[in-house]
Amino acid sequence: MEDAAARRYVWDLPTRLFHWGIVVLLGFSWWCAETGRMEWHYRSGLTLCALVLFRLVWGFTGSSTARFSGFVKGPRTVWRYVRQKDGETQPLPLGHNPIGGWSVLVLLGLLTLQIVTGLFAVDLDGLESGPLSYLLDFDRGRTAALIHEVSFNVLLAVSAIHVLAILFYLVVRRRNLTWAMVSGYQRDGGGEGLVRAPLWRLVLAIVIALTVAYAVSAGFRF
Amino acid sequence: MQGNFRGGSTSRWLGAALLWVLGVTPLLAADSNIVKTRVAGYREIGAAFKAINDQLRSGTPQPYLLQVSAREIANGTREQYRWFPAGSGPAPGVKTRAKVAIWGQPAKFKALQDNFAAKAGALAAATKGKDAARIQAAAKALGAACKACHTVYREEED
Repeated sequence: MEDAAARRYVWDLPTRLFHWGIVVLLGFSWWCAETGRMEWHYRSGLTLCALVLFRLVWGFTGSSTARFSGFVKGPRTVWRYVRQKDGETQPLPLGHNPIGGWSVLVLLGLLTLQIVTGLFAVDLDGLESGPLSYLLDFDRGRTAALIHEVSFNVLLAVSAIHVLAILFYLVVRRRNLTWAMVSGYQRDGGGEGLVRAPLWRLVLAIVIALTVAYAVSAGFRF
Repeated sequence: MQGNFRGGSTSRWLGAALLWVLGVTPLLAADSNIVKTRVAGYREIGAAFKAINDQLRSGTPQPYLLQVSAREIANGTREQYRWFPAGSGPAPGVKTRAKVAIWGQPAKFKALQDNFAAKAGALAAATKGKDAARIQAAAKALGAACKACHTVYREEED
């Protein structure tokens, strides 16, 4: 049985729900697009839009480990971290390590690109289109669709690297990062956990995300 | 002068060459360009259908825009019958997603083309009236007609 004192609370519930929501919906969106279930592809995409919007707001207002200011480090810090051996990194950073922080930014950036291009995309037949595609002409909508397709492959590749990195930590460094993202706890000798954000900030982030996602889904036409 | 002309084999060859250039080359060019014409034609139809769907989703569709776009599609459905001549199917170096089956099942393919033309005509007719539900239904039926043919006779995108 794991010693309760030897672990720290590292990921709050909203951050974990966001993470696994992305995993499930990204796969679901992919499946819908491949099997021509476009109605569900839109719903899934708009939910992803709300999730990413939430995460962006949460990155400024959320718990300490979810904040960009807490995990986005300069190149010198990243380089120092890369050169360290596992033993030297004690105590382990709470939350994203300096490389992980950048991978989060890259993944969020790619997700944003994926969502935005999807909103403007139109299919070859002018039949299926994102809620904002009416703002573009057909050719630009097709360009958006093309970027949507290419950027998804890039997103898949970066996600694969993300999973490989987690496997590296599991096999080489004997640290189960996946379980930490499920349970919220990091096993590293204990100590201070994250600083939680007050509930009102969570409510605010959810309201902002849902409002903007709704406005987008309506094409800003009310 | 006259004798010279009649007897000049060079002139006769030049004349034949000129005839070839003026008469036959454009025909050959038209044939090799039919795939491009086809792609461009469907692109116009796609763009027009996007315009219609954008209008319908706006909640306040402009009747004139609907009519123009619907007419453009209907015109395209008349053109489509000359977009698939024999030999314009997939071949090395030819960029087309048209399946070989189109030329193997001409009757079935034509039935789908006719269906497309009929649905486009119905939409064009509907846009002349003010019945929003009828226009919506006609646009939906047209979309289904596009899909019905594409799922059978168009290759999936890479």
